[in-house]
Amino acid sequence: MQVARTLREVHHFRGYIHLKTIPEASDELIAVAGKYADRISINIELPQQKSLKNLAPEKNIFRTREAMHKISDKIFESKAERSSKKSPFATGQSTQMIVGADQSHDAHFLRRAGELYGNFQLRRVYYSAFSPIPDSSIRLPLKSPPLVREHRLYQADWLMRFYGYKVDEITTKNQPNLDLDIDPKLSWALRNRDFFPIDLNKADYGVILRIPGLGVRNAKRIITARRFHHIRVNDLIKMRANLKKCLPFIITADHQPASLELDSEKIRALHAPPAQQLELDFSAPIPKSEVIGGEF
Amino acid sequence: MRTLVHPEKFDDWRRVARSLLAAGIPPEDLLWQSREQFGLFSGAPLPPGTGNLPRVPGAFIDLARTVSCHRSGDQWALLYSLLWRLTHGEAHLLALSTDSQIHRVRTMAKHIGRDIHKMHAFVRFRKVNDAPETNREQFVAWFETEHRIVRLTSAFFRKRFTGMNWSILTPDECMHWDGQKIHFTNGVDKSQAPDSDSLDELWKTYYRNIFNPARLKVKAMQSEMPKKYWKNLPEAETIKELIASSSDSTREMLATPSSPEKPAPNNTYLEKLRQLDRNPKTNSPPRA
Repeated sequence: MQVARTLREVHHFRGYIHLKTIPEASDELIAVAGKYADRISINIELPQQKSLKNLAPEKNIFRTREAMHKISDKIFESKAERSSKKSPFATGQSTQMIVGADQSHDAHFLRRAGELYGNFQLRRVYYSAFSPIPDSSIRLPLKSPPLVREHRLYQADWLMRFYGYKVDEITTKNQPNLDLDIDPKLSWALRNRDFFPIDLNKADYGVILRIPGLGVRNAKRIITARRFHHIRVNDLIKMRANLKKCLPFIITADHQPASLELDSEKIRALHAPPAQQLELDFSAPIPKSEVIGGEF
Repeated sequence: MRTLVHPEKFDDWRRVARSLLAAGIPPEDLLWQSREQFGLFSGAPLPPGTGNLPRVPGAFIDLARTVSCHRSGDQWALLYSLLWRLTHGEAHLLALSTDSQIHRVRTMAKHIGRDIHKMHAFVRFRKVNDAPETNREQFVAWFETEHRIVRLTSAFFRKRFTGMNWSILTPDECMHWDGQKIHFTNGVDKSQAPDSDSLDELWKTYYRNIFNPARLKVKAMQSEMPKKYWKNLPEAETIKELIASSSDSTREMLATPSSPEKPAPNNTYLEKLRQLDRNPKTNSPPRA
């Protein structure tokens, strides 16, 4: 706290300061932290209480949420009083969850994130792939999860915040984890084929947002541009839309997806990374039958 | 066909464009050339601008002001053409994201935006002597921009580094802040800038220590921090060494067997927290 104070008051530092706190910090301390920081955060670390109990027994989701609630109230108050500049306070809070340290599914992470965004107006939830540290406890996995899992969680997070998806659409009961091979939007589209194809010249904004390969900006451009002319494939090329991805799902003035292209398995294969050789686990004894060479 | 020389800056273009527009000269009758190309030809004098000029959306002025900084010089003809269309029956032109000229001007604006963003991120100040009269710390930075954006970054640097005196030197233009106001001087070459200071080593130590080998992604790093900026970043010297050592340090870490479970640390504060979980009824947090 002294460092933040010195930076602000002695050195007149005007850059971004992000302070982390713990749920049990006193209100007075939080008030001071909020005065100097742009962003305050409490790391929730894991989405479920039972994993916390196992890996971080001093952490408690209930208390973390209480504290987030208090901070979000303070941010709200300070925003309301911004004009009077009476009590400056950080303008946002965020949190972090560690992915791949416990057995939680992606659905657990996304449900927790959705709940925190909704209740405490968090600016961001950060998902950090667990990375093993030297001399770690035996309860922790030795290997980090693939970074792509973290990437998929961020994509799903974006779908919830900017594209109007619900957690239960992104993950399902049978597939509580995100598909690592293809992005969650394409994955949803392939599970909901009857939703498509979408006519870009007629569909609502919210519907266009569901088309794989089109983002928020292009969806808005389409809405504006079609007031003046019909949307054609060439327009999508100019917008740098991902044609390979979106064509099977859309209708334009000059395009209808051919039934041949509509095979979900084919679409999936088109976007999934090429199959890789499985990583061998050298720590496990190799069964004899596999050691002996032979024809492939 | 009338030949025009590329203006120096937005206001010059605006003046020229106004009189061309007032005289009703369409864009296809104009040839805009750089000063070098222009050379021998001398352009006809501008027609006297008369009459009321039609209004254009404020967004166009902002856009034009931004792309004026583009280094290519192609923006001047493009801007006049857009201005012409805006005032000749295509008032909604800016909304046509699929129009090829709009696409071009937006791409140019994007280049400029990216250049500004990189300048905000990659300017590295070096400490020189304190200003004798005011006793304020004095810093100098050398930076090379892709487009002529120095002025567009002045508000950012003034706000961000308001507590110190600084100069940012570039080949196009230099910008100086003395705590009161920003002023600009002509561009200089790199020899005018200090090439190291006592803080460089501190920064390098800092970057070495926040580097996490397990999260290294060389391609992502280079797209955020393109190599062309490296020569002016003191910390860039450490990149090679960090990348080279990263796989070794990760391997080493993985090869070390994990320790047996440690006993919970005997810390009164942590004990209080554990107590809280045992008696969920008294769930008010303890005071640190």
